Amino acid sequence: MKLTAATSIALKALKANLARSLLTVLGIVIGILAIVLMVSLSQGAESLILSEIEGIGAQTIIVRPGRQPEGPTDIAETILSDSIKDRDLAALKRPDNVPGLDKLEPAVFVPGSASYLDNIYRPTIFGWSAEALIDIFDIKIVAGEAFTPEDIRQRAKVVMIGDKVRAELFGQSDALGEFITIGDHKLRVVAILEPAGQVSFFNIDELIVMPYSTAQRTIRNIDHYDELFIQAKEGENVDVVAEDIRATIRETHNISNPDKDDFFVNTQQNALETISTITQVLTISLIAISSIALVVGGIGIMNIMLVSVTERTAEIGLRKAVGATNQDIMIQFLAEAVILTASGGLIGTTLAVAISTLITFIIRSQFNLAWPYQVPLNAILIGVITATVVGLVFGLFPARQAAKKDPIEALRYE
Amino acid sequence: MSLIQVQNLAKTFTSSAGAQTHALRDVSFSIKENEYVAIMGQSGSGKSTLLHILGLLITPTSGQYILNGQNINDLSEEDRAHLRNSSLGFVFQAFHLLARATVLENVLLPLAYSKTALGWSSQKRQQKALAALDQVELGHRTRHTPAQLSGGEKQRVAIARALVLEPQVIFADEPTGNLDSKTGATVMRLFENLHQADHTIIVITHETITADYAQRIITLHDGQIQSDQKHESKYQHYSK
Repeated sequence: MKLTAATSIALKALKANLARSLLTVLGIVIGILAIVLMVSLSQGAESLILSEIEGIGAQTIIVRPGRQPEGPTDIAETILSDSIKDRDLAALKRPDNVPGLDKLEPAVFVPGSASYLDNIYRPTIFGWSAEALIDIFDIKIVAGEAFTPEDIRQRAKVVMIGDKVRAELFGQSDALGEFITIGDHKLRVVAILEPAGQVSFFNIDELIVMPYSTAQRTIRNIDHYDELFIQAKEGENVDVVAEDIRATIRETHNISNPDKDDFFVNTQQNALETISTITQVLTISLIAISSIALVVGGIGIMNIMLVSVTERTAEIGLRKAVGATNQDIMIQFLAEAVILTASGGLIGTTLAVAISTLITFIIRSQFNLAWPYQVPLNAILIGVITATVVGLVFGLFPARQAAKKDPIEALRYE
Repeated sequence: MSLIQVQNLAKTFTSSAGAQTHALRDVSFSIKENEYVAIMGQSGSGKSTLLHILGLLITPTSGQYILNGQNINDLSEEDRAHLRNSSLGFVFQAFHLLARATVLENVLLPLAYSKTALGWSSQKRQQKALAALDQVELGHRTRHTPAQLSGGEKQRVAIARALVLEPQVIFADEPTGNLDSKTGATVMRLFENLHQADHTIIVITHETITADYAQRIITLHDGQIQSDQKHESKYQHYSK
């Protein structure tokens, strides 16, 4: 029997029980929808994170206090660590220690909110250098002037604010020269940043940046830094510079065993590799969980196919009587199972594409993230091929049962 | 030369508990081309088992069955299926029509498994099916489904299906068993017409009225041939 004939027979049989066929296929639709959506979303997230990391620049090296977190329990230790201090800055800035170092800018995060008159807003606040912000993130100022290295030296109480912060605190009125309150301190607005949205993990529009010395000593009253942003010289091997940084800080901290490091150094390459590994593990885990739905769907298909074989026992007998071989019968029932699951795969994939498009729209419009629209071809292929394989695997047993039926017994079946 | 030759045929069924039933024992006969044979017997006499062996639906436990010069014992399941498709036609008491298919689709069914029809265009397939339906005078009911047909019409569709590939032998298993006497007579007259058109007909029945159409009657009793006699068909005038 030709495969086209088997397909045609299978389609007619499925059409005859359309409602049952659609209900049977639901499990496969959900399974494939989950898998394709997971692959699509995790690839979208990976692309977004990778592009954010790439935005920092290939020559950028970040030093943080505490150990490199390897699990959830390490994160608290990393956050609470205070190991990076002025002595480290001084040591790193010495050209004989890190000859490849071009720029070094410390950063201090400030928790809490900012207010102006009765308006309160909770932005991202941190102390840095204006020069680093403008250079590294390529941010422009639309009004006012950036604070200067002199402001940093003098711990000046000045801030640059993002466009959304301006709108939330000042509305239509002029913000420049006005004082906002952070904690118990009043800081003067000296510059307003051009709207730029999400750039390298920061929403520039929701940012308040002040001199790092002000954030460190005046606002938080601490003597450590939360991060060091280091730029390696153009043409320098970033890994070599990173290693020089490690060696310098170990010496400053009297650490001889690298396993005892109380800081960690990340290059863009390290971060890209880490994120890729995390998203891959995450994707595989999510696919594995989603596959449970597919297995349940497959068992549903097998169950209904077994019912169908029993219901159509007389038909099987007749087909054998008019010349169908065991193989013909097997192909016919396998074709039914595969058509069911493959169409489930197609429906699931189509729904996944639609939902992925909707999610992309929501993330872009509501969260102002540069979320890439990702419906990878491999996810669609995986969806349809997996569904077909599920049909073959779970359809095999009922198809064999059908093929094995004794034609005489089958013809007697009422 | 005989179309069908059966020598010392025996069939024993063994139940799952190991109990044996000897359905056929030492059955020998031959049937020539264009013969019209009725195989008669009471319930349990082995006539259906004999039809199933002759129709290649089951294999004998022992003995020889030669169909058109081919020893059936030498054939694989697949070869038997192809031979069943190309050389044999079946008409069943319960009609066995596909309820969801139209009359035309039911008649086209054997073509789906035919090696000969593999290269035929769909037009030629339809022509064949329509010709078979015309033979049973149902050419005007092609688009109807079995549910829209009377019992006699259903059996005529089954006969058209048996005829569509122009088989050498048509086996009919109690073909009038589900029909009233008038409709049964109409169906039997169709077999008589087919016989007149040079088809070999083998009818299994326990009804004398049905067997009376045949030229020869083989009577089975307890799985053995009790009698094998020539018989003058009483209804040949119907075909004239």
